[in-house]
Amino acid sequence: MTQSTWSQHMGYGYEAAHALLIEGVPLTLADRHALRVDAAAEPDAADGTVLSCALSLTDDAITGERLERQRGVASGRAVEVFLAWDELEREGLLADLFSAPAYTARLTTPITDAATTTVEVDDTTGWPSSGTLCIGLETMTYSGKTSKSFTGCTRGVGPLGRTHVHRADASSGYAEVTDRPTRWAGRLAMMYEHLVSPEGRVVPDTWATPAAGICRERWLAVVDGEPAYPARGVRLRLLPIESLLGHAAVGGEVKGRALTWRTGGAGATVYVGASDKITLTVVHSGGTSQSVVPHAPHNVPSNTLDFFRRIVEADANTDLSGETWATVDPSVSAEVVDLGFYAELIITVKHDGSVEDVFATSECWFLDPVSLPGDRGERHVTVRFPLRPPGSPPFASGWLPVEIAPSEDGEYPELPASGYAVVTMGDGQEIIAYDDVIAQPLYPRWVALHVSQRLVGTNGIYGPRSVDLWGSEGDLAIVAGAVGLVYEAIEILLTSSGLGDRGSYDTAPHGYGLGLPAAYIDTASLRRYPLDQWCIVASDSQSSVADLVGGWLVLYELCLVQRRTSADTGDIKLAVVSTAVGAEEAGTDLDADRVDELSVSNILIGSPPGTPEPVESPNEVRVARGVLTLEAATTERDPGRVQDQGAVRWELVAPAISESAARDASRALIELAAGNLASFAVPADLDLQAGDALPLTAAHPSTYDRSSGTRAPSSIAARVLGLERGLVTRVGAATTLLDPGTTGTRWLCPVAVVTGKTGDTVDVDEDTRDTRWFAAGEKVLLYNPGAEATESELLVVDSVATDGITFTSTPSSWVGAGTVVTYPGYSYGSSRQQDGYMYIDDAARWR
Amino acid sequence: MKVPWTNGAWPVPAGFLYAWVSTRVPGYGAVDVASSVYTAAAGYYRGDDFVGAVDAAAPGTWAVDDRGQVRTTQSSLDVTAVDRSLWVMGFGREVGDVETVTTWYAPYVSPIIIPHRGATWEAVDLSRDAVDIDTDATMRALGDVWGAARVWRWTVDLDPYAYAAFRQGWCMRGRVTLEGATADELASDEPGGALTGQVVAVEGVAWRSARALTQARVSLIVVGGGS
Repeated sequence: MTQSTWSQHMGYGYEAAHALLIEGVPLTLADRHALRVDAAAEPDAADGTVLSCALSLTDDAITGERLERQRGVASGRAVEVFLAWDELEREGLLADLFSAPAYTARLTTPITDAATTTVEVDDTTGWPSSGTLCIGLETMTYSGKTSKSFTGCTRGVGPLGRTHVHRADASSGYAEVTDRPTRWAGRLAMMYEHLVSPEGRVVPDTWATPAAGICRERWLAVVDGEPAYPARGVRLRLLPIESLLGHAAVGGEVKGRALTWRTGGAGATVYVGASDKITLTVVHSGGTSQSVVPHAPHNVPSNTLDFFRRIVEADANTDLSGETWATVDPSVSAEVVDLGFYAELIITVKHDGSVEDVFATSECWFLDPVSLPGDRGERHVTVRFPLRPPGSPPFASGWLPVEIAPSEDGEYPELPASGYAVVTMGDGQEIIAYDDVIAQPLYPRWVALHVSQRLVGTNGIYGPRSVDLWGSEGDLAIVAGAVGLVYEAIEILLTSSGLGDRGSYDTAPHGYGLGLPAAYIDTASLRRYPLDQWCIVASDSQSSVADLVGGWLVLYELCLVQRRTSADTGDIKLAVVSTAVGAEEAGTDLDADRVDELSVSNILIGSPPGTPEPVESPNEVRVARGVLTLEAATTERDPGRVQDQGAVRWELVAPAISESAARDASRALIELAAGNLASFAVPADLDLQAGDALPLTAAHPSTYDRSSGTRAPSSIAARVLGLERGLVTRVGAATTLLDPGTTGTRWLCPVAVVTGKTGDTVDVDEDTRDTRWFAAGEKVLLYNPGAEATESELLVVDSVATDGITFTSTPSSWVGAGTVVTYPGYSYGSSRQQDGYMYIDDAARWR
Repeated sequence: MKVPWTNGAWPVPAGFLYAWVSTRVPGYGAVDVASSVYTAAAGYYRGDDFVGAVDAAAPGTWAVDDRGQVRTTQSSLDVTAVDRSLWVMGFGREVGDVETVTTWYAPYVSPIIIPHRGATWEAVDLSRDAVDIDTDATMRALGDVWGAARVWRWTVDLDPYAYAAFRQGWCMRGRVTLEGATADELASDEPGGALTGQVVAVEGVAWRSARALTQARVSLIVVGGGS
């Protein structure tokens, strides 16, 4: 068995001391007074903090993570820590931390930028000329002040310091500026462990500062609730960081409210007098070739102008009176007005030089080349503006009018300046991206979103179908979550703070993410698994990360859990690990010293294993694929098992997953054979973690290898699903999932029937969805039924579309309608085909 | 507690209880002689071998006599404690302390080389013998879980000054060796040989005389010791 350096040291009889850092609190909280091995002095406090030895841990302080196979996010135990009264008093810290603030002020201007260095408040009277201030969870230092502001602020100071968005209108006390922490709930906390020699000397020279093999990060947590004050000291309850993923809300109360999509329907009526002129104002799709001149229309109310501040007016006031009705055609009237596909049209009718009507504030958007119908001379002209974006991506930009639904308090929410929205019409749904919002101060219910992309992330895989004709009433909801590849969406949800300073995925607005520093995310693990599919994690109400992405993770037998990524320094991160029994995944971010087996020598004496528990796989999996109000789902079931056992149903949510991917993953879950959970007590020096895959080589009598019918097998594959370990006792309890030793269900070899051929491509009826069984790079067999002896050949798939398969070479001339495409002989099959599909021994035939 | 005997003339022990020390962990294995720091080779040493490793690395002589007292002989040089090495060898010097040395005897029993007055050992039957091994912070296991475990109870008699060294912790956890009549490993042809194992619990301490406190009887639960 290999061991980490830390583990080896523990095996020498060393033990661990602990220190705790809490976000923004300038203390290193150590659990003992102890001298160092290299000096007759205590270890120093972590950088920027003061040492307090008030931390008290009890035998009940047990950390633990358990992978949740049906939730996708690990669960964990809460740990209560105490800060001893006497010690805090002796150190003079009690009043500094746990008493009412000496100075307070109230934030008057929200802080929405991480670079903000001036905090504007109602009154700074009495405050020191420089010092420390706290707002919510953030601690700052300031170097100066005015009567109504603190200047020269350094943001997010203190251990684990983060910047935060601060609202000035917060009613919960988060707009209060104080000279000491008043809010504890939600602060990050990191527990560190330090090597202590058998004679009680601390090996590292600094608390809470990782050093290879002698000090490492132990546990990342979040403070749960405000401190309690029992007799023995201040009590803080800590929850593992995973708890944020399961409980914390993503999305705000005003964010993601359903918005009404208004299309204008019947159009607008334009009154045109005999001598009137109509101004065609164009919001065009960009480009520099158009000869348009920015212009502020005379007498147009400034607020209206502001609403359309991006509008440029064509260099013409077309006289439409009398005989001059004309079709506005960009191809012939470019010098007057360019109505490109993505232009928008504002019609202003001038009566005798004065503005009376300004249209198109809500009715006119993506336009095809527009003609202005109506009979000559009529005063009433009806102009229809069909909402007709082009039928296939990519799209250029355009403005989209949105009528906002008021929130419960009757106010109209302020939309994020950019982001994504879900448009739902009937049974159609698509995601749009927008990069700008124009608010109309006088009419707050109306905004215009600048659409930068339609059918985001779909490229045809997202169904049931896109909104291909926006001509009816629909709903629009701002995405509370993320759009992108699944792993990107997870990173967005985990890191987004509204400030953009948590790394490249801190892109969602305030309230749409957890705001965790990117350093706490094991990005490599996110990219190790099939999470490179498009997803839409959207919610019109507050949701947890587990709600939004857990279904995706469950589908692929994955789980988010905190793990050490370095055995010697800890480097705790949230990582995705597999929950399936099997070999450790390539590229796992643990060093070579990690435990590579669970053997006799690291199962604790005197602790009999727990009774093995069977683990059942589902026989029915329903995957909800729609977003928000759209109901779209796939259900895979094993009818035989359902009939015999009753339904063992897993209901998962994986918004925007393609139907084929959902079915494939669902089948894989159903194929999971039942396994066994076995629990063992493990010693202090065993560096085991939840998620580790390793063989159990203990020949333990509670294990059984079903594949070979062996009792107490000398080696059986296992996955550590859970590990608990006492902070003080250091004794661990590992729960392992053992290899069920059975062969999963195999599927009949699929076929697709050719309907036609063009060049290297054969056509397949799209409605059958049969091309989904084939993949680029794989060999396939083409044959004509009844003439296999002569009309049969192997080809390599170049690409697969929903309605056809393209090969790397041209199919033979006999390939045509009725030709069957199926898997090749077994020996030619890919591992995917060989692993999942039925075949007849070595006869190179699929059934 | 200093040993109340003349240097080099401590009572003859019945054997030794050794702790093992790893010089791979910072804090143990370095001495400063005449302003130069010498570090023992990386290794995991039984107590007496640790002194030998220091001797191999540092100038002068560093040795343990047959009574368990460590001494060093230098040419009137300054020996400075730069870590806990001098302390665990029984010199009782804290980091930074300087001693000008010709021949320097450790006044304390080394907590890694503890002379004992007698020792016995017996196998523990986990299925019948109530042994509290669930409370030790560094418990580890060697052996089979379900009945074939080699768990031993060592009972060691210690003089008060030796017990003071024991209490410093090095023989309460980690690997320990109990040496009887010979330093060789216990075997069928070496019945008085040494036992080595991992301490999983200190079962108890009893004074032979509760009033005089003349001798302490320490009971250790050790895994893997013996064959």
